[in-house]
Amino acid sequence: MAEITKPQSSSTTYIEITPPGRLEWPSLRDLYNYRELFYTLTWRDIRVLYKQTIIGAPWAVLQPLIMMAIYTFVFDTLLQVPTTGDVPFPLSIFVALLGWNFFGNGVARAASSIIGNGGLIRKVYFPRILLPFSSIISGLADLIPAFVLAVIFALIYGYPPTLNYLLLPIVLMLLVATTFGWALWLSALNAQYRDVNMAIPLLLQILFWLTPILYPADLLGETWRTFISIFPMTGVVEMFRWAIIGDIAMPPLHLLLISSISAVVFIVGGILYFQRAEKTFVDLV
Amino acid sequence: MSDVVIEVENLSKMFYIGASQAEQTSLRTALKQTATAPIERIKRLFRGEGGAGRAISLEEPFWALQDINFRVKQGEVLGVIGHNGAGKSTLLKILSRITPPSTGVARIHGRVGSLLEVGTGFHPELTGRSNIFLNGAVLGMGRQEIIRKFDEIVAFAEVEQFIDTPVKFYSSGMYMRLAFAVAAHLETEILLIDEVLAVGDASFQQKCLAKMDDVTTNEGRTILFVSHFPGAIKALCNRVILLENGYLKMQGTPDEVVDFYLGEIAAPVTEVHIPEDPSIRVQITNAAIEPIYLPDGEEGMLFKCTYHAKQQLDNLLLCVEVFDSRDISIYYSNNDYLSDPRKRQLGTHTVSLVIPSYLFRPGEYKVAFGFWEPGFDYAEHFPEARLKFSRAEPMSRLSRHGVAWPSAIYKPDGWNYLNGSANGVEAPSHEHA
Repeated sequence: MAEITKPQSSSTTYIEITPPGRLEWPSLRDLYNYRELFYTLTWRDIRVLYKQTIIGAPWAVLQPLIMMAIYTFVFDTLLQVPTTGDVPFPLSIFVALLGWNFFGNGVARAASSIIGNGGLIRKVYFPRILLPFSSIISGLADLIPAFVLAVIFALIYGYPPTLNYLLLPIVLMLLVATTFGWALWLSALNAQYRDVNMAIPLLLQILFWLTPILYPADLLGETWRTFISIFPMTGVVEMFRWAIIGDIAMPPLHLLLISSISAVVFIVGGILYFQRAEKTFVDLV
Repeated sequence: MSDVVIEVENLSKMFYIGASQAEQTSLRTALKQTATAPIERIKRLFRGEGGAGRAISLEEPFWALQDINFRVKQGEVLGVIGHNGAGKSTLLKILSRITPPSTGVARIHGRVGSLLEVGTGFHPELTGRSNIFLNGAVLGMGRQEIIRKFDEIVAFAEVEQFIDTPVKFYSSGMYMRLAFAVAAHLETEILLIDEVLAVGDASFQQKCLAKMDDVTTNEGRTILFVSHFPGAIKALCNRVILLENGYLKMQGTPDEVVDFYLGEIAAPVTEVHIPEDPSIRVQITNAAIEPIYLPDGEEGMLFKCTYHAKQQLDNLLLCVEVFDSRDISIYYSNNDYLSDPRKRQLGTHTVSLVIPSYLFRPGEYKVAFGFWEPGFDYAEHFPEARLKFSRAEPMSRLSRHGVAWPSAIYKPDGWNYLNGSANGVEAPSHEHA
């Protein structure tokens, strides 16, 4: 039997299949083994996003540009709402929308990712967590061109890049973590209770107005400002403004800390909840 | 070192059935249920019972698998055989981690590749080429690994010409060949295969069997092979387990298990005798079925029934109904239109009915019979007296066509071209023969 060539890595893979209900951390080895699927799913999501549209990829920047124009007209021209550090309103809002759009679109896409891939779930095994993750990561395809445009805007309005740019990777990580945490909860809940699908647009509206996007955070009193920091997008939006525009005061550290802790709590709880629910998806979708 | 690669211990799987029952309830109940369901669900949610989205009161547990135990060694080909609904597919779904077990545990040493249904992980809009990569990724295969095996996969599947065509234009045979090729060329230690050989022509089936033989003996891979076809099981497996109604009924060598299984299904009930009951107005004493050849050469079943009429039979109808293995009624007939004076005469009679069983797809059938009086709540059923027969076909034809289709009626012939004439010399048509 010496000539038998055993497939590689055979001794290392061990799977134990058990009934659902335990709190389990996802297996990192499993996730690593399925990295190709993650790339494929992400790439598919990106292509699907603009497939069968006439304009195609420019939608990525058109959407925030049009939103910026509308909000500027209503909140700046009509209502004359102030901005943090008296930054021109269009710039302030465009930068804030960078993070918000990634979050809002990502959460909405992720929420339907389990149900939308029912065909795949019913037929093959793979770590289901890849579905919400790939749907939010595909949002980077929108974020990157919009970010470039934001830098150009900042330059036009006279805010050249500062050392604050160095903090962008951390801000980006916080953004992805926040989005992922919410995406995990909502996608797992949506698979089990379709009511969630009805509630998500409403929830996103509430979060949008609770986040200092159209108004400066310091317009709120200290208590309210601390309160809204629990919604982790507050920290991300303020950090984006501070990192790109540079010439404004850094958001208070303890508020950023609250935002970060909230993001971590959401993501840890989200992973555990998702892992527990994932085994039942096949019977629900 | 233990070379057990699959170890299944006390594995059970419970489903809730109820959806089908819910459909049968009245509109009023349905409306009432819809109205109260949200409240019930919210109550359950707070009691922590989760899993809403199903109907509440009509759920009934159904055990698809109960207390299954077995082990598979490295390089073995384990066959799983059993009737429809015995739990074969559920077992494979649990082992491939698509659905979780309800209790018990399965331990698997090695990567698992599974081939459960046609087009697993295929996207109809994408080309064959893209689908190989997608399918490979779904099965946990790296891009480099796929590139390395790409040509081999395409050659094996015999789809070279169509590799850049979207797979929605593929025939089911091409689809399956490609799916099998990807799964077979994956370097997974364990392959789970469900009825794959049902699709594809005979030569491709041979190729699949040869490939499966090759991966087990030369590459030391392990295969779990679920099939209806005793021939394929005997040809390929080292060991076979028989599932029946969710239980593991038997395990052993292919010959012993397959022969036992065939003996079981081939035991038809061709004749029943019904004891005399003085309270019955029309007593069926004896019923039987036997195969007959119809004038056009097709095979049918002849139902014969002897009854004793103690009263006038003006409105009583003799009814015969045939149920398939899923207990779906697929055939019904009564003697309403038979204009024979003997219908109305007292005494003992014997009647016969030709059941066109050549229309039924291969499988097992039960024949129920009884007297019924239209408009009256009167019937003479003999629920315990059921005739049983099975309709078989040569394995080659069976595997090519019949089994994959869920239809009750299956008739492979009856096709004709209406334009021109067949110009091939070696293709004589029936008309000119």
